[in-house]
Amino acid sequence: MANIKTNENKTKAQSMGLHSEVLTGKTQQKFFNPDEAENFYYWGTYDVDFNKRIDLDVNDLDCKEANKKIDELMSQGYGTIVIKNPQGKHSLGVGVLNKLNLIFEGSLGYFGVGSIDGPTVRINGRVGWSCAENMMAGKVVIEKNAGSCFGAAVRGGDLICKGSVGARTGIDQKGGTIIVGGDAGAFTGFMMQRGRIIILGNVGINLGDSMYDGTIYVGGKIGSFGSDAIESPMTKSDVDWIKRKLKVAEIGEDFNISNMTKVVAGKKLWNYDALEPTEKKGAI
Amino acid sequence: MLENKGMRFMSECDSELIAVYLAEKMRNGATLEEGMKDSLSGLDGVFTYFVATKDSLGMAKDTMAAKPLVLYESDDLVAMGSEEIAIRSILPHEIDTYDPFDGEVKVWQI
Repeated sequence: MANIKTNENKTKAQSMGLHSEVLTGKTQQKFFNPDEAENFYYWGTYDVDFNKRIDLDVNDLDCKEANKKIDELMSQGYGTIVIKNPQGKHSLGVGVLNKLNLIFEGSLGYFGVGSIDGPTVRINGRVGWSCAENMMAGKVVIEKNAGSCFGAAVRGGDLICKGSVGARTGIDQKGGTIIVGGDAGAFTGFMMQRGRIIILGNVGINLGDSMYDGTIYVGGKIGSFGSDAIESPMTKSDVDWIKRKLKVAEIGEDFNISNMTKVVAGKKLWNYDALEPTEKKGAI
Repeated sequence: MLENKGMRFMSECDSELIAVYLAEKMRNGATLEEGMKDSLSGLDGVFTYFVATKDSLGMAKDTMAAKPLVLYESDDLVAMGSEEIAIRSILPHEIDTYDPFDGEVKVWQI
């Protein structure tokens, strides 16, 4: 829990009863001790065996039935699940909070594998809009193309599309890595806050528009820079890191990384202050 | 503006505006593709549309790319839908589909 202590030297706001405690520490508060992790129950997780494999044909199931079936199979210990005939259905594979090998033999519709935390997913087809939205951890590999809002608000993990992606890739990204083997559309990295995006091909207009932080690497041509997105020099650590990531992504083996363009936030739109929440209340 | 030129609208649907806009362009000598490219800057708001005439088929996506379109092309077939599942209902076998990019216009002759 956050370290809470009382403060006898009350501000005017405290005297008025607006608040009675002071939060110490700027950031990086420890909310639970890792040693206590075994006591921490994570809803929707199971002990699975990756060698225990099963095929699941979802041709006659709707997305709720299919996702429930995936959950049931995980509860039975299956660690490798192969989904047959997804046929572009929406919201398949969402909310998987487990270590799991999940393989889709076909294409997914909107919101595929959203809000996942941990699984390794391979999609042998295309994905629609908002694939892996809110992904927390894990690895997702898409063999073909992806729609718009690819990796919206991802917080962690590796999200990889070997083909091209639509507009607003990595919108509101908060962490993790998005890797695209082909081209990306307009507004890539729109309002991203943390994390990294690697595009090996060309990108459309307004790249990194209103980005707060994070980094975008582009291998091809850039349509135009968005508001407050600026170019930054590539460093050796950038090149080394991208090389490692592309190896994980199984793409771009012979790609000339040192010629990529690095894009970061110009920080001219930043309007932050150094006040703690309590100080802000005091200022009010 | 189009009404000032004598056009009349039969519905409140904004899609009708696109049809009338393109018809007016083509009446003045533009090809379908030229009219569609003009529509990217001539029409306000976000849109993705496809249009068919007696001998051609076309699609256009505005520069904001806020409306979805999934496209499949082969030598003898073009299929479009706002979602993959619509195309899969007629082509259930494995195919390569993609999202056209922002500001993209395509026209096929029938």
